[in-house]
Amino acid sequence: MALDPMTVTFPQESVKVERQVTFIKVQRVFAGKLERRETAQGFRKEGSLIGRELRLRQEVLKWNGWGFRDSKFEFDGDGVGSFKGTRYLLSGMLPHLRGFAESIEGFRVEDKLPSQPEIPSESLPKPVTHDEFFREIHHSGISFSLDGQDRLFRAHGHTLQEIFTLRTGLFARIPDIVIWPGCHKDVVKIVEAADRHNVCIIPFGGKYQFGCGTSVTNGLECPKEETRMIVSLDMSQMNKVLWIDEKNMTAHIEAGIVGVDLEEKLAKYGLCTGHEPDSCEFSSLGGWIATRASGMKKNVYGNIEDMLVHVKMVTPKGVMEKNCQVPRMSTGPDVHHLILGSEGILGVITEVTLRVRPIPPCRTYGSVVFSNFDDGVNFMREVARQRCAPASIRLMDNAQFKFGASLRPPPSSMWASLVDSLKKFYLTRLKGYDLDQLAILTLLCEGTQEEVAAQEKRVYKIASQFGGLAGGEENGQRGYMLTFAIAYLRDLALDHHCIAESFETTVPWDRVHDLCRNVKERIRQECKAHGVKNEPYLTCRVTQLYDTGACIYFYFGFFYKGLPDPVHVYEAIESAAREEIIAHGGSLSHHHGVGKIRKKWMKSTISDTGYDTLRAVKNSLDPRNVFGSKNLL
Amino acid sequence: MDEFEDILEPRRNHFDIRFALKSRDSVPMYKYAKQQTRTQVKESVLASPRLKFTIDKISTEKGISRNDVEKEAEEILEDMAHSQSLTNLRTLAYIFPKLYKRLLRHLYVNRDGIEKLRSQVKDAPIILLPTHRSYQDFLVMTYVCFHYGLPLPFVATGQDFNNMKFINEVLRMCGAFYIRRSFGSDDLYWALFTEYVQTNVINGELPLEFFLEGTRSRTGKFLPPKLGLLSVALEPYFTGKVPDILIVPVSFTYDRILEEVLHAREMLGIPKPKESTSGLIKARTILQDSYGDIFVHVGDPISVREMAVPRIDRSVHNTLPRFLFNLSAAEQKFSAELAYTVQDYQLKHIYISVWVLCATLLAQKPQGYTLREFCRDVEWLKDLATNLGAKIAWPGEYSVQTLVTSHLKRHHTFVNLAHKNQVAVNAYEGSPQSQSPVEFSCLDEVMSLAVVPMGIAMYRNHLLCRLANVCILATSFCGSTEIKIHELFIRFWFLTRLFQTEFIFRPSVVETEFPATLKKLESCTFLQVSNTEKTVIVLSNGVKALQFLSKMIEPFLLGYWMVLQYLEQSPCKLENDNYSKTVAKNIQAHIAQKVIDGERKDFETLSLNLLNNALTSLVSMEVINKTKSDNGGSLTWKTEKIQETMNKLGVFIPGSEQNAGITKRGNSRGPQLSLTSKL
Repeated sequence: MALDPMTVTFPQESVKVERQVTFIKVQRVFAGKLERRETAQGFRKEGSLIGRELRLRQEVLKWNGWGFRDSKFEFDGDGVGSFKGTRYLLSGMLPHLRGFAESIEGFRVEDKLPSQPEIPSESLPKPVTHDEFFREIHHSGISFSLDGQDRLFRAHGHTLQEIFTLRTGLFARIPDIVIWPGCHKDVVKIVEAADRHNVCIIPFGGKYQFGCGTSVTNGLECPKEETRMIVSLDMSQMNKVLWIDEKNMTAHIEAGIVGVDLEEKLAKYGLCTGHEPDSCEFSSLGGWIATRASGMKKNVYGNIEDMLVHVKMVTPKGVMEKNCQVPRMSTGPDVHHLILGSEGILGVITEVTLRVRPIPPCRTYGSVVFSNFDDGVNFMREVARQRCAPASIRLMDNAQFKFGASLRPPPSSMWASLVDSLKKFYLTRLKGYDLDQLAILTLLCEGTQEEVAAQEKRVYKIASQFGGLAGGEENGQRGYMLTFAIAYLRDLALDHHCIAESFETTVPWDRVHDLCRNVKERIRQECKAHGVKNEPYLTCRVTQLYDTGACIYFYFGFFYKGLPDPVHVYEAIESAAREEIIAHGGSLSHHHGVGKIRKKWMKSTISDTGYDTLRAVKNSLDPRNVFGSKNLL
Repeated sequence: MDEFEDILEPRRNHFDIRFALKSRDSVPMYKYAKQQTRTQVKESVLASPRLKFTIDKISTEKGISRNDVEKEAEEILEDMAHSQSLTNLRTLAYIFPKLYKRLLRHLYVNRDGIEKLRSQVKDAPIILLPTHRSYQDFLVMTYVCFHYGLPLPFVATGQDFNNMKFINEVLRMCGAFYIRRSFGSDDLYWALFTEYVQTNVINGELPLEFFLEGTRSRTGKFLPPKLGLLSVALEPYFTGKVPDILIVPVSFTYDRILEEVLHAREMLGIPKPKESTSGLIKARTILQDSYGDIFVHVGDPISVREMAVPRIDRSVHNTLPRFLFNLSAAEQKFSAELAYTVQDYQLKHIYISVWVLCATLLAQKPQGYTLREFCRDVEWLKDLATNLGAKIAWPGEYSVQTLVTSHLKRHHTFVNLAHKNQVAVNAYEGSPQSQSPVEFSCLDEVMSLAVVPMGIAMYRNHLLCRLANVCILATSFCGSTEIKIHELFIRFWFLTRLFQTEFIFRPSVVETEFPATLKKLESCTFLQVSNTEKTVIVLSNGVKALQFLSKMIEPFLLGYWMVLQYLEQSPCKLENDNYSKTVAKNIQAHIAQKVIDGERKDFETLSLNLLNNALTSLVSMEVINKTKSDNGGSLTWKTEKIQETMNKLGVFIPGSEQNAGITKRGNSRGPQLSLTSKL
């Protein structure tokens, strides 16, 4: 069936107008503190225009890489690095970037490998259609599209394998139709029709489903062997805050809303969720729940499961929800925990009630320099023991410290560069720190001015017991900026024959140090064993602390030029790294989820019995496997 | 063939003082090494969660105050810990070359192995696992490491050395740490020992060195590996405390072992002098003798990770705290396999001394060799052994005669060349065979006469354990020249099981060893396997070799036969003290009596080691039973089972059918041996 994509209904223009109004209000609320608040939102300088960009995302977002089209790292003709675009505080010339990049063995600025040009719609797989299902959707008035680019755009997440395919090849299978439900009822209709007609649904979040990494688990990939029609259920139109209850401190929100939009809307009321995953510009509320996401400030606000008060999930067997909105209940196993982390295989999340908090009046950054990573880990463990962690506390290893330093802007004056070298002199000569050993810890404190001051005092006192030196606010801020930048950096790496990816885990305190060292060591050995000629780039940071352990985030990249099948080599190495993590008492995932790439470890992770239990839930809720993304199980 | 270099050579041309003071700046280091002083190590051991846990447990269970237990722990640790000091080692590095230059001709090391080791030192903590044939092993290893500018090992040493005043402290400063021989149920000792070894392994500053065999092998054969220390040393890998561990097998070859006579006596049960400093001073006369060459073969490092990754699931440790020692069944099996792999590697890389070839020949024919014949046979045996895969330390620049003569001279304790170039074994240590037959009147006399044959056998065993499979296969023919292959296999399998304690066979590998051994002999054109007929035919080419090889193992067959015979003739009485050690002693006395009576002449079967091994094997073959008890376990046996095994074994013993008849009639006369060449 051929349909003209132009007949599809477009979202109303009014959205845009509403957004602008919102923005002005936000400015009023945060009078005098505008800049702070903006930095809080991922260093975006402008108000969010996400709503307007919804449909034609191809024009605003990269089709084959991370984030906005106008934002990227680049080396100019003279090999000078810079970050293009003005959306982020990090922008302009980065004179130290090249030196850093070329410290990765093999990397040469001149040696570029451009991506293939945009794939013309004609070359994309023709859609598989189911006439009756299609007719039903068509008659219901719900927006949809059969356009190839729309479908391609929703055929993938941001796993390395997917991006690599986008740059060099073609997916074997992409969704056959994109449908934009406008409300909970639309979703119920679509799911019912899909179940009746045996059509496959893969939910797609506000921008990219599945939380922070914005699916870094191949969660969105269409199973190759799927012969039924595949619907990409794009939740982006369901982006409204339906009500706010200030008495009970709750907000009822549609699940397609993207992180930054949600915070902006709540800010009108002086409220926030406090959920700030690194991908909050692009990931959606439903995605956070479906992957059990974790936000940077979980020490104050908790992870997504802690702020979830109520949730509706539409399954082929009906809607699953609770009949009340209470802080806690004892009614058998919590059904919310079937929805949290369900990764789109049980149903689709439509409406959510979240706990909200007043926006804290004061927020400060800070940093501490330790002479080595181990001291930093010991310090974090002590902070966890005393339960005095500020909103965010992160420890970066030496390699990441050096990367952060490479993103310094050009010195603003002779004076600034003199200060820089004085600092360096102080650290290395007077304090005896080895620049190749030291680790940096970044802090983010939130609360009233007094609270923040007390927090800082206490943390810095503990730090000094572990030989830490205060490293200043600017370093702290740069540390958080790095988080957003690193996602963009992979595209630069891919442009230069480098593969790079991140992965994470949680681990008990006593094994943090051994796990970090041994996983890196294992990766080095595996690289050698797989014929990677150059030393890989390896770095990690401790990003979250808990009473009993910590979350660790690794970045790993290598120069692959000359390898016949770099993606497979990468997969083998990542798999070995995960095995090493598991062998050291690490979890399969802290917040990225399982998706398809980590499925093979699910049974051993939760025991055969646990696995069978989940399988039984899946079979009972979705016997025809409508939600057939094949994630998790 | 590995390239060896003589590391004494430069010492002969340069001042020792320069060697002793040479810079150690460029010594490679494990990249995550944590440098700690002796005190720091001790403090961190005592403060470890493992110790806290154990001290708590002990003080609760036994009602002793924490302080007292802690104090005891501190004392034990003080007594255990090494205190390697470079100053001290430099002093020794000054003295030792002087000694070695006097005692030795050459000290050969395979440079290649050293360089491989050097290039991997930075990657992971290292465990050096040398063979153990002499007290010297530890010092030679440290000397080699010092010579090549490698990190100097800390070495597990038996507590008995700690009782030698002064020497114990010297060794301690060389890196020795002391452990008790057994400490089964002493929780505190276990915890201290485990934590101490692991702390040092994890710190990775010095390689750990210990002997898989647990003690010096007095027999020249390998001892079954002891797994306790190995498991303790490997656990940090299984629990993720180190990224990897590199295991380096080291094989030592001595032309002449310092303690040869001591070892021979010990085998016979002649009480050994206790390790004491005064004893050592008395033994200094040995320093006036010449000991020939030492070959040190440093093997390729084995990465525990590479071996373990495909088969070990370390995540089983995730739900237990890491301070509780815990190895899964798979990990225990892995450790055992690793130990066997290492021993296999050590065995294959032992360089067989020319003297060992001499001893092998002399064990079969103690007299009546002219030097010319002898040299011819030595060469023949060299070629045979080489073809069968053994590595022979055969310096090409000398004539056979020069070589053989020099070795015979060096071993004047055991052999002599006195009369008209006649090669003959001595009657007593150092004194030539008298022309008239020797008369023995008492047990002591028999034992002292047995010392020399024991010594010769010990050297022969160096070759025998290398060729054990081949020898067993050769024996399995029982002198026939054509045999069904399955029959051969059944016999091979039986002997392999019988000798499992003697030559450390892994029973699991018989299936693969049999065809491999067959193939080896086939490739030497000694035999031919006919696949259609399913038979094996001995070729004319192989008759002599197979006969020789089966003779090599004959003393063991006889020894086991005598054990069975004794058990058959002395029915098990429960009221008797049947501890296996006592039984072995009784058997030895029984055999000695036969020697006195002139019925037998095979001194080698007097070896307590052999007799004990035989009992152990019979227990594991369930021919006899062993009940567990506190002081060693008591044996019980039934005559029917013994006879059944005798029937099986009888096939391999020349003239045994006749004997079987004799024993059935209750006659105590021993087998009429067709061995022409026993002493």
